[in-house]
Amino acid sequence: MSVVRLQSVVKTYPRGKVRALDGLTVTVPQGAVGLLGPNGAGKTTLLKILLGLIRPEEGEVEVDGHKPTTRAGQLQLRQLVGYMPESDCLIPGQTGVETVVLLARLSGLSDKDALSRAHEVLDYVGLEEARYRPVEGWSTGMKQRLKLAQALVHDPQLLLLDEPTNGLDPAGRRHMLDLILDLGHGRGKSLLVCTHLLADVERTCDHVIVLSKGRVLASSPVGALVGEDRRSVRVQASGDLRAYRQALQARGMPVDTQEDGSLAVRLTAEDADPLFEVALHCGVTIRSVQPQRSSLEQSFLEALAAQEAQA
Amino acid sequence: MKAEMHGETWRPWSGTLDGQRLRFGPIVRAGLRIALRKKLPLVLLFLPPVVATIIFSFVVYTVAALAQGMVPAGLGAAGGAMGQALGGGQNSLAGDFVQQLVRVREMIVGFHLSTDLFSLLLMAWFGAGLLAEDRRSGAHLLYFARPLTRTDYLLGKFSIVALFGVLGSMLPGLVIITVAVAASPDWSFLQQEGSVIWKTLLFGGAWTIVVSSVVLAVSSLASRRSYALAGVFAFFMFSGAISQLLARLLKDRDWLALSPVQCGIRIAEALFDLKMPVRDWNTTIAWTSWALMVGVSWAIIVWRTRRLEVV
Repeated sequence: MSVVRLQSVVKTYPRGKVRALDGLTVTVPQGAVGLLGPNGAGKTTLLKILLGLIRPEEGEVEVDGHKPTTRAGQLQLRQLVGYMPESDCLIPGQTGVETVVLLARLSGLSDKDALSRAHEVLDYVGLEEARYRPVEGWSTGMKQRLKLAQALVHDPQLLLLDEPTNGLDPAGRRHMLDLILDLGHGRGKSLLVCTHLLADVERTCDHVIVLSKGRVLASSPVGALVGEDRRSVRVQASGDLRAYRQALQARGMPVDTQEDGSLAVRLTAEDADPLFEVALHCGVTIRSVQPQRSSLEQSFLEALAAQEAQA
Repeated sequence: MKAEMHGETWRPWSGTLDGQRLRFGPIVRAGLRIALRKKLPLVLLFLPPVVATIIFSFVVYTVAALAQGMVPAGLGAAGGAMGQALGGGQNSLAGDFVQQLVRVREMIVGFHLSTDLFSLLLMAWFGAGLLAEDRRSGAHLLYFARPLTRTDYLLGKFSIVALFGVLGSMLPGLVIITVAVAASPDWSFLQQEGSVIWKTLLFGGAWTIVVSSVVLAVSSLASRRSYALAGVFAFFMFSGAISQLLARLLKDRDWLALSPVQCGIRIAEALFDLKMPVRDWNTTIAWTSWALMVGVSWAIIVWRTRRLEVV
């Protein structure tokens, strides 16, 4: 079941004449979804369109059954969605707890509920006594956690997180990723995590959408993208490996020698039989053949390269 | 919100969000909390109107008391001297009762015009950053990711400035009137000059609306509070200087309508029925000028706020 649906959405920024979204059509399923793409791919534009903060020139958008392109739809869906902006944003002059209480009140919580919920989410994100200090003096990591807390305070079913680990040190990044993982998998929230950090998506998301130049390059479960690539194998063997390597290449199979001495071989057939045939011919003993795991980065780069080639 | 630790853990929220309530209330409360946090500006800006109100209350009480042929208890010789200073001796004051009530009214108008300048300072100081700082700190991204309409947002911001305007312009006037009513014999001030009450409310309200609108418009155009503050003072000073210059060069006093302060003086004179021919220029033009200033200011505010919400 999908939580977000976009059909042929176009958004152009008139000043730079940049086509941020170029006929984007995508469906975002429930669960934790990563929105990947290089800088300028249109990720933040997409998130803002989903909240009605930006109006597309063409196309249809639907978030949990509400249309952010209409006024009524915007107000309804903003109760159902929590948004963590990318840029540094805070309400000047307020403490952390006052900020979260105010935004909870604006979401429709009563005074009493807003205060108790604010403390609960601030506890959850790990902001302890700092919550009583003005936010202007906070570190980047604390501000990021505050942004996550205010997005959570009204307990929305869908969270739009824009670059949640931006500017964080390794410990802060790990903590933020743990929170996102818990929200997506422990708390059953639907997340749309917008980032250009592939490792973040690989760690926290079930599904990935790759954007580039305002278009969808790939949309599939993370497992499918980072899963086993049956046509690439890692071979451990003993004997005359140099001759074996040359023979494999002569049969049209690209071979790379790895640091541990094993060979990464790209098969030309559906099975590994040719490996054994060549090994027998060269007098090499094969000790193991394992499917080589491709990384999300590799898939991402391949998708980008394919787009470049098409262009 | 005292500094104590809360042990709650984050849990799903089972309540319902209120979707109908006007949401400007929390913005007003948050804005006032921030404004009241810094004590020194409060003391410096409120002290002059408070002191002026106390002194004028005393003078009005003295005049009213002398009008009924009584020297206030405890004044003794000082009361007699003040009676001489205020209008030719205790006996003549007592003899011309109605004239003294008119003098009280004129004193109230004079007091009004002087406290209105303090209210301008108050509104500029506390209102200049309301929109400018929201934009600079990115708070608009947090506000408008909530089910908050622009009307609610602007109503909240306007209410904050207007409240300081009311405290600076209307409230002192009402205090003085209350003193005059209480001090005059047999509620005679209320019977003879009762219209001063609604005129005070009308004039104070109109002045507050004009200044609040201009302050918010400048704030919406400025990138930070200090620029907005400078912009507000520049507007009032330059409009005053230019209007005086044009009125003298073109020998047409209607040019004074370019200045909101000059318009205020003219409107006050007309509204409170004071005969001061030196300022005798068209009151309708003054009212029209004020209305235009409010209209243009709100056009700017709405345009700029729309850009805050929707890109």
